[in-house]
Amino acid sequence: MRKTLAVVGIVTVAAAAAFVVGGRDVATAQGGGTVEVEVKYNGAPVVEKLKVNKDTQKCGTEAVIEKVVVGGNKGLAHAVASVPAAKGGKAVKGVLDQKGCKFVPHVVVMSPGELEIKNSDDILHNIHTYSTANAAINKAQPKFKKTMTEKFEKPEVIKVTCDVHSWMLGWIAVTPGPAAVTDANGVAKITDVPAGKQKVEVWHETLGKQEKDVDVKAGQTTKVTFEMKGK
Amino acid sequence: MSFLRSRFVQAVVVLIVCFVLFRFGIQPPAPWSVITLYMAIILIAILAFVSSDADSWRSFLTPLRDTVVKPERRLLRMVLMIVMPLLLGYYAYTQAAAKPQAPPELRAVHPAPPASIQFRGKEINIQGIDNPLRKDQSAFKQHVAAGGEIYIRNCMYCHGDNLDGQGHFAHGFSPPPANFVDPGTIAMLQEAYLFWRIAKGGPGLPKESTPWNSVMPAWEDRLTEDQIWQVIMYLYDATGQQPRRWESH
Amino acid sequence: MPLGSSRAVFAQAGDAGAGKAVYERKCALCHGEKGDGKGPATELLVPRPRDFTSGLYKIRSTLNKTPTDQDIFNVVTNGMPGTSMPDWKVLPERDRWNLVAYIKAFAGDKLKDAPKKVDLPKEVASSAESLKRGKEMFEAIECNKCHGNEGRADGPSRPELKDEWGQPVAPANLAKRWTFRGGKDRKEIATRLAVGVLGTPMPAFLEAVEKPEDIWHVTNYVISLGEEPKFATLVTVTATKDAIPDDPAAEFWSKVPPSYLPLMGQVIIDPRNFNPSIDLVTVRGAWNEREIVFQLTWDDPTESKPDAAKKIFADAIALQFPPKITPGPERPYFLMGDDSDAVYLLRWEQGKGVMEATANGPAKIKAIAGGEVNGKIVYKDGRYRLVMRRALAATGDDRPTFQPGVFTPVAFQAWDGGEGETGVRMSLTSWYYLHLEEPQSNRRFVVPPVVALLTLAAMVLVVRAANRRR
Repeated sequence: MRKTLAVVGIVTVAAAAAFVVGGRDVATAQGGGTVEVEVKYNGAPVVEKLKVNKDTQKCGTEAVIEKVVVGGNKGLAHAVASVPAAKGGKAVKGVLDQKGCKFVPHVVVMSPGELEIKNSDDILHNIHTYSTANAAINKAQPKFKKTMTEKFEKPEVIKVTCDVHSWMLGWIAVTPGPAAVTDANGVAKITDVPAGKQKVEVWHETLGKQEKDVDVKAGQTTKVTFEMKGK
Repeated sequence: MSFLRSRFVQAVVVLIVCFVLFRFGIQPPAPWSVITLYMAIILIAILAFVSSDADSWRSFLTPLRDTVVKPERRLLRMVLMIVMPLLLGYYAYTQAAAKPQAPPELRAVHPAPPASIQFRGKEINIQGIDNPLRKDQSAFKQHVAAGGEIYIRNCMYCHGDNLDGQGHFAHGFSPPPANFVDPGTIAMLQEAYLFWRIAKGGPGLPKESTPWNSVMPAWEDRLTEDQIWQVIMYLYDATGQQPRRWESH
Repeated sequence: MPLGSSRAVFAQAGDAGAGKAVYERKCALCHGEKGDGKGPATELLVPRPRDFTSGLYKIRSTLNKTPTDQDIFNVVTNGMPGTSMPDWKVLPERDRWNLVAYIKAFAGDKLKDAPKKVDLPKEVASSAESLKRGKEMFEAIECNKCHGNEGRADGPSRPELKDEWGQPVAPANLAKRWTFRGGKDRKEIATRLAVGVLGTPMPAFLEAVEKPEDIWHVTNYVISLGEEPKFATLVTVTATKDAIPDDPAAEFWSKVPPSYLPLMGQVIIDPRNFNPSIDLVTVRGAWNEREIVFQLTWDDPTESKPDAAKKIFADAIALQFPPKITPGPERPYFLMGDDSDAVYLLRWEQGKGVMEATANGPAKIKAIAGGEVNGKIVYKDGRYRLVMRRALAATGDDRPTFQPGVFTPVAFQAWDGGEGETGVRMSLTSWYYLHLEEPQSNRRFVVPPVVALLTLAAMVLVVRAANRRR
């Protein structure tokens, strides 16, 4: 029974993801524009390492805590680029996995609504959120509970930790408007942005927030570059 | 109710009433050793009373003698001769099989205070002095508040937030920490007495109060003179007790 | 007393205004005038006093953040075992309800959502079957990660745990349920397991067990992990004719009656230890005509290898005796003696083993040369078990000779080096008595018949004499 549920869950998630990707394309065709955000950071990466004393088969013997990830061309990864004021975009359902004792993705972007939380590790994790606008949760997810669903209805960036594996750190960005997370090169493509003057916001877990005005044109890609400063 | 006129019955009734009073009338319950002692005193008093004149003594002995010699009391005699040895034998068994108990710790709870003490190199009179901080009425609240802070940082762990001697370390120590709410502690002592006890703690007790057992620290190492007077004011204020006054001569 | 057990307490609407006066008199010294948990003693307490402005309540029976008024009332009434929060049963019930209203107000609109009370699954009584399933589930949901394999708070995640305020927080020792913050009752334990302990790493397991009733099986299993001890007033050393084993885990020791002794923090000499790690030592003793042997058992979440840089010190434990057993009440100062009167110590220290020492106060410990003691230690699953043995008779002025039937003063000290305890930072007891039980005699079977016969004889004589005189 449990297995069936898990399979159904995974299929649902896959279907939802496919729907989301498809939905976005449709919306772009309907007159929105794309904003390509490039986030740069001049400083050094911040990485902490920790010796693991448990679950080494799943977690490895060394945990790497990446607080600031700087990729090629000084691009800053794991930054959330969003257009908070833009309404009416398609809903993006978030999926957060716990795999290899890490939150994958490190930052998940979702529209207000449901978040699918997976545990692919076959060991106990606990989802501990530090939310204020939404209800804070601290729920155990033992090895046999492969997926669970939580609701986050209010826009907010939420820290997620696992107390069993204290190095695990993730973020849930609940955004009402279209949003994307920068890749290893510091680039995020926000699709579905309504044409016109828009405020684009970039947020990073340790480097803070910045805002820029962007003139979005329907059917076109507008580029904007942010320069984050070390604190 | 003619049997009530018998001296023997009267004696037994008095004994029973006294026993019930000692056993159930005293709160908290008195230890058995104390009850036994009281009962022995009562028994002696009764015997002295019934033997005060010949008539009374005869009246007291009659039922006893009757039981021993009268043929019609034969059955009672037999019953007693079976029951009494069994009862005493059982008592002997409980005594022989009893597990040893820790011997009681005898200690003077409120030993006589010294006339004066050395406090950080300064001589402070204990006999006859009052809390100097009470002179300035306007500063009363301020002193009590300061005393409360001192209490919570230092005393609460043993003497408890409720000042009832039930702090979270209390159950580990013998003798237990003083219960300030109890009318038998600070309410019957002068503030200077408390000053002595707080300043010198367990190590400053006289031998009859078993200083080696007390976990009360000597607070002169940690608190100033004023701080000790302040915490004393807090103790009385928080418990609603009044310090005892020195008798004026 | 938990709610609804013998005397139902019905929720009442409190009057916050009236609660203010009580709060300022009784609560503010720890929780602060503003309810922010910043009273004058805050930094001395572990855990720290609750910050009411945060609106976070550890002990609650609800699925969301908001506790019921009854939850807060219960904590005020029963206190929080294992913390500095006492029970406030001394306050009239009315006052406690008023306090509930007043302290809730500190949180402002953080408690605006109505409490959603948890519906626990149908209660399952404890049974062999339930315990088996409970253990299975305990392992499946990996309680051991924090609480350890035997529940003794020694799980691998222990050193990483932090509470919502960033303070290190220890997992509960499940073998000591009488120290559970929310109470030791079945229903309380099941509720903590179901909805978690807010503000701490303890998550909610209501939806994280295989079947709803597993909550009760795990609860039953947790209850089975440790029996609440009855503290001893006398440490009895059992007499035996046999050899006494060296192995602390030997079957022999399970047959020796234990004495449970509570240990308290040393708060006399600086640095004071307000939050001692070791709160209980279980002592078993046995003696034969040659030697006296002690088996000591105590929980310690870490077997610490000393590392001064990390403030980790050697774990240690000591039994303390006067160097001479004298008949009078006089004995050395309980805190390891003083300059004029020394104490004798039977001491074990991680890395150094068992030794005899003399102390003239906690800072003046001197090993006795040519010690006659030996011992063996076992550490497993958050618990030390130690055997220390010594000859009954001793030579020299520093060592006591143990005699059967004599009440010998004894005291205990313990150090959890992993929690930074060393030197005067320790937990300890005041003086107790040690008693070497005399070998079982037949006295109790011989004396009573003799007494009975003598009584009978006396009575017969009295009756005879009285009748003859007549």
